[in-house]
Amino acid sequence: MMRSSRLALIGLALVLVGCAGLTNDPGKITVTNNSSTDTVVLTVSLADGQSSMNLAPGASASVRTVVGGVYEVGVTLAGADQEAYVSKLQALRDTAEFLLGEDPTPDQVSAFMDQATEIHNLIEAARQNGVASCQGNLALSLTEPVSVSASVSTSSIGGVTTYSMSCGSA
Amino acid sequence: MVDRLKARLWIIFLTGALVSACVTINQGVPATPTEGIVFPTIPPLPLVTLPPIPTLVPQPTDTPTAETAEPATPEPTLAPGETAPATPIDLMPFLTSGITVYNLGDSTLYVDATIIDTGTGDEYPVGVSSVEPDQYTRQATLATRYRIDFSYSQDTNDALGSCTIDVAEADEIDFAALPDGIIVTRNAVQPDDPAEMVVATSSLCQAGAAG
Repeated sequence: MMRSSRLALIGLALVLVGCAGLTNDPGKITVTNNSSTDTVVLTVSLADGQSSMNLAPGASASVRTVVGGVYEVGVTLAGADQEAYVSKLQALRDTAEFLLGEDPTPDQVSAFMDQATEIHNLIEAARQNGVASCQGNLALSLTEPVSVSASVSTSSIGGVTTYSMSCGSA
Repeated sequence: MVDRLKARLWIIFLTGALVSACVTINQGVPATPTEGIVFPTIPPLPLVTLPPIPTLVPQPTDTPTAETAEPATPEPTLAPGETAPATPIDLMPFLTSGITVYNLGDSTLYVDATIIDTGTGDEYPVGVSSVEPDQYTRQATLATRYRIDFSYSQDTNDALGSCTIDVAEADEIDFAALPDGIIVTRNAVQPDDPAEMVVATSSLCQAGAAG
């Protein structure tokens, strides 16, 4: 059984990599925070992946896809929630540094696992109640990589921040 | 168990069909046993009922038949010798596992993935992804052997570390990268030995190593 599975995967890998024309080239979605003042936590959701990013004003990040299709970009965390997210990331980083140093302890291992789970759950919960979002479509090509751009901008009226989203399609 | 067997057989059958289609498409370069890839022989399979095989690649034809045409839709016309465009394969059913990367560093992390054929050692580059600071990204992947190189520099693809790992179906592999090194976990399982969480020392990242 294992041998059959392995052969199938090898065959598939050969097709994927060695037979251009049967699989689409990968696509890329680049997300930019066009706000001049606000850092935002954005989540890009795709059929074959998901990515969350903490983008400072003017910063960009990208996500790769091998299947394309409809994608969604959402502002998942803002304000105090965004600050909490960043502090959890910092805690995860501190624990990871202990693990990479000399004589890490089982408690640090446990803490790392808990912190990583906490961050993941925080994003998942926030994604369900996103502040703002948009959708686009990425139709991949057999012959060339396809890229699209998405962006978020913010405005503040009476101390309330509103988000404007844009998702490109190709 | 029967469903699982059927699924595997279906993948094997489909893969064979795809490979055959691949050779068909590249008609300009005749495939011979002396060039390109030699496919391993698949052992005899038990008799099972397979689902109908969809047409993955339109075959070149000068006279389209009504068999494949919608009555109300005009058939595309192909000039003599012209090859119909290939139909892209839907990869999604094969992407049964996931690899997640957290970049906990302060600069862009470059992640370079390569599929390794466990039989021959041949390598097939998948591509380079960039992960920004405070970004984490999960990519659905094939269940197979990968070498994943990490670097905070575009010039040297494995400057930070490298992990050769066997990814099984439904596996979720997590990496967390910092300038000092990389943490790795499989399916959120907490190892007894902390060294098993460090790419440089973890047995997870030594797939195929001698010994």
